[in-house]
Amino acid sequence: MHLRELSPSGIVGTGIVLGVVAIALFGPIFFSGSTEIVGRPFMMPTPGHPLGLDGYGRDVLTRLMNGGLTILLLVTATTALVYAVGIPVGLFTALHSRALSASALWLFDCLLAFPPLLLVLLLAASTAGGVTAAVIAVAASQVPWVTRLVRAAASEVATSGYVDAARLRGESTWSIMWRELLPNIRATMLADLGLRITVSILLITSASFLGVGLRPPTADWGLMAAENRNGLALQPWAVLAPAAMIALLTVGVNLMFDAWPKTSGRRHSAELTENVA
Amino acid sequence: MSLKSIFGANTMSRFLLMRTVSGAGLVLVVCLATFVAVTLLPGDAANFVSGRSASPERLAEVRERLNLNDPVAERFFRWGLRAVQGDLGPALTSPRQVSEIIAPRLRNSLILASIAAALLVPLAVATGALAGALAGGSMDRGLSVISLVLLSMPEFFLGTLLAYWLGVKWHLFPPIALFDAAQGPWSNPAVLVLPCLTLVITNLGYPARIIRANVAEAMSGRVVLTARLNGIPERRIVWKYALRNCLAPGIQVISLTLLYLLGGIIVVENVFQFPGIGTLAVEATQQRDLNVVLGLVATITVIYALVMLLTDTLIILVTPKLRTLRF
Amino acid sequence: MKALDHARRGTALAVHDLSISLVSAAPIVENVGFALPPGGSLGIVGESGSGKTTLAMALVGHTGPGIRIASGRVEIAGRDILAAGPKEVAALRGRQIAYVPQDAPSALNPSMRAGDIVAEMLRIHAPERYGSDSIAKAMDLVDLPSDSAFLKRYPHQLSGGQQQRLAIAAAMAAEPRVLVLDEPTTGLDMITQKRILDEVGRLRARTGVAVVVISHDLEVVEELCDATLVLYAGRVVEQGPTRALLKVPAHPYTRGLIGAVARPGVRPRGMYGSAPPPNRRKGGCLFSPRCPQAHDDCREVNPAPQKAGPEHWVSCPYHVEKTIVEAAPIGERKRDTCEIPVLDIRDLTVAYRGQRVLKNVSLTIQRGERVALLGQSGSGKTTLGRCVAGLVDREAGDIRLNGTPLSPRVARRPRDQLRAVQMVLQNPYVSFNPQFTIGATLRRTMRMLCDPGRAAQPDRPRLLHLLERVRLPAEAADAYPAQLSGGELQRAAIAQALACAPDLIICDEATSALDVSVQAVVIELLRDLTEDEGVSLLVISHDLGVVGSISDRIYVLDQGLIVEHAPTPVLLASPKSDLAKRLIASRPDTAAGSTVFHATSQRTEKTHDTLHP
Repeated sequence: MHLRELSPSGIVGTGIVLGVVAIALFGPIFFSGSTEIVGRPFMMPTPGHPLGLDGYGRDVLTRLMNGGLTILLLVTATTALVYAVGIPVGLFTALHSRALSASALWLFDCLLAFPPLLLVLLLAASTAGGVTAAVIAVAASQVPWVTRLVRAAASEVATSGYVDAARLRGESTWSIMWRELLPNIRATMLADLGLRITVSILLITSASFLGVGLRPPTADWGLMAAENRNGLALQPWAVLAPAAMIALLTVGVNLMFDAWPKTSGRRHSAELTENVA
Repeated sequence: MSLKSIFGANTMSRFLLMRTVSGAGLVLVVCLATFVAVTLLPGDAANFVSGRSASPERLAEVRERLNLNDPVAERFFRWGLRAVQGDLGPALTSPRQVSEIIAPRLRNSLILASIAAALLVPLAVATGALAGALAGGSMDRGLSVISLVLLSMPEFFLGTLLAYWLGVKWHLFPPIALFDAAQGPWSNPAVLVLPCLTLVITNLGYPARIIRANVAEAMSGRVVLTARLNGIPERRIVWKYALRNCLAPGIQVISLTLLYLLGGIIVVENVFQFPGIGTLAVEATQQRDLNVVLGLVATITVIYALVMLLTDTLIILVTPKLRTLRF
Repeated sequence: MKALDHARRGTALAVHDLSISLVSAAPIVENVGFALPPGGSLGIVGESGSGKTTLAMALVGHTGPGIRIASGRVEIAGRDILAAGPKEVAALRGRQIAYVPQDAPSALNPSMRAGDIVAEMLRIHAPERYGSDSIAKAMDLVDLPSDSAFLKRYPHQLSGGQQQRLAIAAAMAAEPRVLVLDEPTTGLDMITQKRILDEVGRLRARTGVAVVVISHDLEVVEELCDATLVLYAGRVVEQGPTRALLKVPAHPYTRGLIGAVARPGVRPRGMYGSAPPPNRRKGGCLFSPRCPQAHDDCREVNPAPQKAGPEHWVSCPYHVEKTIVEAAPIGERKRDTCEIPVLDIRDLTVAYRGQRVLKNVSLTIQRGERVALLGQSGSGKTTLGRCVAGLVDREAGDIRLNGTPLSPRVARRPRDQLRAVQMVLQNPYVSFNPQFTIGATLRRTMRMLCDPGRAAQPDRPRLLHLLERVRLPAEAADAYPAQLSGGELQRAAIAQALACAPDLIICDEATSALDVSVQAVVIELLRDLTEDEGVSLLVISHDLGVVGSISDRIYVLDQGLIVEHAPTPVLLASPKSDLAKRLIASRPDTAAGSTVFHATSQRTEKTHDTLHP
């Protein structure tokens, strides 16, 4: 895809995402000492510390530069997990709507009864907590949606003649899932991907904000926003700066993905030009 | 999900009965899963109640008091039987009953959520319908970007920003919702302003976009085109031919939004330290009061099932094709 | 059809030199002009891509997004609707000219009751007559009941035919002077189609409304219209009195179209190729690439309309060289029937969602025999085909292929059985996975079905030979499905079915999504292949024309039961079952008192691959 096909908001979004990701990836290389105490707690910005100090007297800018990597890793892991479960289950249930599929889907629907963060809290409460619990819980809250989406899109494709043709030439279920169905629901999946990533970022950082998942003294934007909240009146930057980074990332991701051309993936031939026109 | 399952039913009452049963089944399964999770996973409740340095005798005593030695199935059955009567058992970390703890917090949260919903729903419907009816125009494109930014906004970022600006800097509203949980927010209604504002703004984008998409699709559809080609006035087309037929998907997305609100409230309450179920959930998790967590899950699942039942009923009522299935 | 004499004065609708184009200036419709007298009727005939729906909408002053009026006027009641302001346009619509869209049932407001749909038009366009009497009158006009129970029904509670008539009743409620019907019979089964045609004919006689009928179907136009205009790639190739135009067609395209119509007992002749889309229309006669009598200068010179008879105009300088190719009748074929049948279905019963869609169906097909399964929508005919193919599970019964039982599920069938039974499906646009080239899909089919070891790739010559058999050029092998037309795709689908010497090809409404001219190509191809190679055919169709032009023997399926089966000529001459009688009566060419020419080539009940604005 060429950049000029993007709308202005798409270019802005892509720029924001590239910037935030660059900070998250390369920040730790240039800024070390995120846990060093360098001065008085909640010190307002000075030329040496442009974003001031946090509640423990650590440099906010240094921590900001180090706090994005965890989010990128966790979000990538969560999104991968969501699709690793959602796509195969969705594809399979689109082809076989038997009792097994129906009960699997019903169980997935049960997960929807939990507000996602309650699921995170619940899993954190019943296990020792930690990052893994947060990732699993966030993924579990997203899997039902992805499964439904994949299933709905794939069910439509499954009625196409070429899926019948594939069955008639003896293709296996596996081959029909990956060869006939998946490539033809790609557009629908891509249209949803931005929202899925955003939701993962929001939930993962919210979990950190609520004190579930990552533990201090890790430098993490969500965690930073939470632990400096009681100093908001004294030194707002310690809270607002990391929170703003997360907001920039989510807004950027959504703007970027929204600008992707949304084709249904089904192309019509020139014969239908009249009707399309 | 809901629409598809409707087609199997013959009449509305039978359908509603089916949905009620399946809703009850959902509550049962979710509670059972939660119960098993909090019971079987490492970290027995007795450890948390009695503390790390407790003697084995003390542990055994606590186990006995909490019936932790009985089989899981029996304990769940007993818990469920009492839960149906509104008794969610004793809390582990306080001498009070779980239902006593949850009730005032739930009321506070419902007040917050209701006010937010009362503002959010009309606003989302109005902007979504307007943008959809004028799809492609400059207002539509503007709203599209704005709604996208809003729905990407983390609640804790916006909440903190509002708390700092309107609370700390300008002193317009209290940046922290300090009030007695038992008395409720009405003693100082100003504490509701910032949490409400945060909830409304962050939850507005999604339903507005979905409603816009539905209305825009209807406006460019064959029903509307045919009405136009036969000289039906535009105003009437928008109301009777486009919006009227978007009621069902609209209701669907509104109900989803209400459920999201329930999730968003967890973060927002913690930003403003609002004594509702969101802060309670975090407190209970931190103190590992599993009975309170279980009670909260049960409560929220019941709310979820009720909202879904109401949604399905409303959708049937506004969709002639579903309402007249008997024919 | 008699026009009403008392309303001869003036014109109800006049179109002057109308050209419509895309915003990019690519022409959709060029220089169309006609005048419709009050009470008159005009048919606009064209295949897909001809611009007929765009033209129909322009008649009521509408252009879709990306489309603009390049020049011309559309005059209704003395006013140019294209130049009128929004208020004036709204006043003309419904009161002076009303529009019934293609697939009208799906354009009815699903949340409005039948009575309200009609009342709406009265209230807005004729408030002085608004009342239950007028509603009853409008319903009566199309023979719909007007009791309150019926008026309270929602569209989904009506049958397809009733919905269509309701749409016409609503359009006629305010008694407009002109009624535009876009494909009024498309999507309805044959008996309902006949009913709608009768209904519209009566409507004209009773109200004196002038009618414009847009259709791809010559039979519809013949039945309803005094005058006909033939559109090809947005240009008028011929226009004149319907009777003269169909009896002595002047333009090669019109002749081709008439010859392509599938009729019982006649071999239709196809026209290869397809009409160019708006952005690929150059100078010269646009039909010349497909024209059997094209001269060199046809490609350069834009043909001007010439007189071919009284009020009969044709855009072809060589129209005098008439080479009328009469469709060839089908000869009898002899085959011995004593051998083991290719397909032997006994007492097949299939249930779907607790309802029996096929009940004790028995059917046999001999080697090289072409058997048709004729039925209305919902008769279970598609289920039968899918059951033989192993795509639908059966409840009871036995299906044998060359004497050996066929496993109910395709996944359990050995490779030889997979090879033996092939299928050509209704919608060619989704017959090939859009991700792969036609060649890639064909090779995969050959690799999985023909060759013993899966390692060997079928070579290109074999692939090209296969394409040649269905008369596709070699380039088709490297084309993606989106680059081919519907007719080409359907031929490629036949190539896929032929790839590994099948015993039986099941064609499930395989021609119904295609244009008339292309449909004939596919029918010809299927006939030739069975004749040359001894493949058996099971043709599943709702279309008596298709069935009658291709099959040796017909089974008639009604609500899951075989109600009749007989050799094709026997069944056509003396149908026994009620359904067969009604189907035959619904076609004027087979019914008594047939007129000049008759055609049927309906798109099917299920085809909705066209995207209408």
